Amino acid sequence: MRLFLTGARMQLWLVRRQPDDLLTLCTIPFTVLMLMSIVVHSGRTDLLANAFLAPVLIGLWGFATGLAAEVLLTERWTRSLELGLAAPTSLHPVYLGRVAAVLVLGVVPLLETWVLGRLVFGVTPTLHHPGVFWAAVGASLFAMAGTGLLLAAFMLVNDNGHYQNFLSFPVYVLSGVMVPVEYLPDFLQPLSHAVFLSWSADLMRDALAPAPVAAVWWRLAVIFALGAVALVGGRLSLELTLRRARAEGSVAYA
Amino acid sequence: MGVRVREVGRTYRKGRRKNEEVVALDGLSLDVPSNEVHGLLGPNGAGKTTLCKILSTVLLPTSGTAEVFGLDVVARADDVRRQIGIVFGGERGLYWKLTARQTLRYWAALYKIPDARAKGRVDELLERLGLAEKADDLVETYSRGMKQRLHLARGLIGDPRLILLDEPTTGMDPVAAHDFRGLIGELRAEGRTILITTHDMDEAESVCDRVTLIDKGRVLATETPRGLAEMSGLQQWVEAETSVDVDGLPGVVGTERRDGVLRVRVVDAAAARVVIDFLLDRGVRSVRAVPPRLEDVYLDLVGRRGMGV
Ligand SMILES: Nc1ncnc2c1ncn2[C@@H]1O[C@H](COP(=O)(O)OP(=O)(O)O)[C@@H](O)[C@H]1O
Ligand SMILES: [Mg+2]
Repeated sequence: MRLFLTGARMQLWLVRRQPDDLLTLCTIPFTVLMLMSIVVHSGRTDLLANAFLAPVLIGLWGFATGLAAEVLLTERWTRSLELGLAAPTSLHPVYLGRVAAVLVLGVVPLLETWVLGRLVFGVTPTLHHPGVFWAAVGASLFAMAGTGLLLAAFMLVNDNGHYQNFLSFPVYVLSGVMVPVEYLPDFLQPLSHAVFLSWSADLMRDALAPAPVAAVWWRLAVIFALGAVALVGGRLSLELTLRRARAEGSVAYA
Repeated sequence: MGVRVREVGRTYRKGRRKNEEVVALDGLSLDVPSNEVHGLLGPNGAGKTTLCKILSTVLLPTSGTAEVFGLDVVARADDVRRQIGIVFGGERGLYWKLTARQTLRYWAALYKIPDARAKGRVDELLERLGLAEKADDLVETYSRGMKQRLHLARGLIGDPRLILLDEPTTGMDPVAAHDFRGLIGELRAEGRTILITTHDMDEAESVCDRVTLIDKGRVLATETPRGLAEMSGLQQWVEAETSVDVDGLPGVVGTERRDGVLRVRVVDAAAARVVIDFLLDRGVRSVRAVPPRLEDVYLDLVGRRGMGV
């Protein structure tokens, strides 16, 4: 836990000096405006929640995975990774802390988006179940950090940006953040259950709707569990990657 | 024993299909007693960095064994890490958007120093390496020398018993290099063991108790800088301010004159003695025997490959 906090604190120091890291997050509200205007002008205000949630979740997701990958790749090419490996602690809690710190800052655009929707369209999705909504946000952030670590470990091996794109779009579709999962072909639907974002999107949408939310604990637990699986997987693959690098002598070389 | 390396080999795979093999270390053995300052000298590609990486546990040997204070660097890597500090030369490895203080706080945590103690330790190191005044400026605003000092501070944060320095003075200005030598002396006085790789023969000669010359992953020789010079069988020089002719004396290989200084090359110490006596008998003052410098020995053993980096 201390290492996690060390990583988080260090990343906040870095972000303070390098706020442009957060710039990508600032683009999210514009996407929201675009989608909202489509929804509002076509009279489908029932899709408002989708228009609101999709860019926020997609943005955060892309941000988390991109950031985590960047943290690790930068560590490698600045040779800090090598120095870290020679230290008597494991590095994954530190890296997880660094990713988590920025993810928490990532909640800001969510609020920003909210304000923008109100100012520009005079509409915001009503938070019918705020408790559930924020719990879902929290669980999703946890899952994103875990998944970010997993993807970062993967990127460390396959050092090229194509994978990142390859991973993002299928996930957007499978997660049902914009297109509800029910619209997907049958054979894809079970797959989407393995993507925590689909649970997050569902739960958040329900939290925005007036109807009582069913099975809240169960669904939160699923998000947490999927996040935990990714976290453990990320931790293991990071360890394997570093072990392999140690054997092959590729720690400092791309 | 501080460091004990036995028959360590390391090969890398290179090329598109990883089918090319590069031998970086070829059955290298080395002993560094505790509290010794030991220099690793050799041309580029000799395997110095590879050896440092193996000792710092970030690289596994392909064959052989290495121990740090009796702890195997593979089997007991975690224990070894607690004992060592590493400083790799150059400017990489620092976070440019952190301050020196933040950098050291970060690494203090990674070296498991409790927060309560970390603050004092960081202040102490900032002071010791002359960074206290700029401790809260961003690393990116530092001069090269300051970055190198921060690297050193970082390497010392865990209070290491063994310090591995891989070309720590590359590109340092003469003043900084001088301070650096002082620091090495202090660290030795504190009982630490130091393994240092360098291209700078004068530096090696002045700070190292013993040096090891390596080339192509093998040890050529391990000796004190002076012992190496004597052992090398390299000819000595006698220098004197005179115009007296010594060409016919036994053991004289050649002479040269520059700016009124006569330099006589002789085959060994005995021949040097003869030349010196000869000159003194003729009333010549300021006569001295000059042993071969480490650099001469190095050039003799390794040749001119990879020099001047
Ligand atoms: N990661 C690596 N992959 C492939 N070859 C390497 C790697 N690291 C070092 N080498 C090669 O191993 C040899 C020894 O390198 P190194 O230990 O860096 O020597 P030195 O530090 O003495 O200059 C060189 O031929 C170098 O090209
Ligand atoms: Mg080197």
